[in-house]
Amino acid sequence: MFSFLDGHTLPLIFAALMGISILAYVILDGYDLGVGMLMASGNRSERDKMVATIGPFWDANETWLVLGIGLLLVAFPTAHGLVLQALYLPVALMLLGLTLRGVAFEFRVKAQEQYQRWWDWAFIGGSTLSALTQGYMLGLYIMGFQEGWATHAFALGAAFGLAAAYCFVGATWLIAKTDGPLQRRAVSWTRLTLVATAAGMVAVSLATPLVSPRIFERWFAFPNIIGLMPIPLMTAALFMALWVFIKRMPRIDHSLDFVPFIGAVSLFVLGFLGLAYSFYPYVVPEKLTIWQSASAPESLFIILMGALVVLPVIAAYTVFSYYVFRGKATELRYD
Amino acid sequence: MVGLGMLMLLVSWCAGWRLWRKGDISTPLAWVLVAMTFTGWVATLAGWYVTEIGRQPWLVTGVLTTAQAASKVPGGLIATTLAMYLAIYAVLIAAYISVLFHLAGKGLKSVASPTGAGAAKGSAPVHPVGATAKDT
Repeated sequence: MFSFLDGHTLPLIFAALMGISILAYVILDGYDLGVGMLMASGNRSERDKMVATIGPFWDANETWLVLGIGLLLVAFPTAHGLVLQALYLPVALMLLGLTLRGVAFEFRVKAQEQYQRWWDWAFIGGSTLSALTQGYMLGLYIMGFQEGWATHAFALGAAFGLAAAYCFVGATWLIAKTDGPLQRRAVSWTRLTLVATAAGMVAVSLATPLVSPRIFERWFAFPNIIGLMPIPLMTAALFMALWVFIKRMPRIDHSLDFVPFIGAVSLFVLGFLGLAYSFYPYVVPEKLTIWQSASAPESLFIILMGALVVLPVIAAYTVFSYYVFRGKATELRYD
Repeated sequence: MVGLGMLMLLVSWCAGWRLWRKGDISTPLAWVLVAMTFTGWVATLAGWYVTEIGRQPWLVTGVLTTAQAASKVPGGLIATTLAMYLAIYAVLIAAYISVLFHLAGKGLKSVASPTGAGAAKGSAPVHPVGATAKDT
């Protein structure tokens, strides 16, 4: 009865699940890492409010990273080995950043008064390190893990690009979850980071087809180009629309405060679709396809049964927690 | 690991028995509990050591050896990151212990003051652990 779940379809299903997990991670942990980085320019009470906006969500957001890497390991073990070996150092540094940040979440309010500022900076530093290393990994991946200085120069650019994009989605999150002076600051942060994010996306979009003739062919061959044009056009239009919309913020009426965040998320989705189209069907660029690196269909089938139970549960508690903590964030309290 | 587990059970039963019969814990017993703060942690580490070292040279017994599974990441890089992890964990454990005692000290103050949360619980007399800690 499950005959359609064969050696061809199962790897595709898992590639899609892994893609969705990575996209969910980049958007969800992206905004809370972004808020963490933006805390660098906030004062003590602003920082407390900023942490309060991400407090109920951040650790659930990070589970998507575990799920994404976990799916890579169980469904595409060969690719897992190659990718994580190539990314060893940035992964190690990312874990350091995430560890520092996770600890600082608690200690920035629970430690002795005189050390709380240190933990604030551990929080900001950990967030920044995590964002930069993730961008660096994205850059190395786009360059197909090639050797040479050009790869690392591009990866460095991608590191700052992704960090800017995280700050951007974080700033729009703050517009949605705060009001008053902090919201005004979030609006100006959004304006700055929107420009940086647009620059980063343009750089990646130009670099990807230049690095790989295969990707160039995929995008610019006729008639593909006609069907694909909506992706860059919609992205450009969305950037401009957001720019205009944010110029009129903050508004007295708070009912539209979520619009910039939704716009930022849509931009992330469009960017992700572009990347996914460029690299499909490869898991390791130009080296291993989805099918070459997939586990045996029998193993994949068993894992899929587990995933079909777990994923709806994750989706349900995610929706539930965002519903419970909807609206503007309240005072930061730990008692 | 097993010894520590037994010790933890024994001490918790003693404390439980005393709490049930007398309604509070004597100062020496409280000191024993403080001394045992990290036993759970040490026991977990010991257990980990036993399994990790015990199954060498295998990673999956009879299927895959550790040497076969090791990645090609240069040794120097692994040593560097290991040193980094060790350093950060040394800092974190120091911070953790200091925050733990800081928070415990805060709890002590609220027990000592009549308006504190601890004092509101029943009429049983409360003996704060170590009178000297009150000064902090």
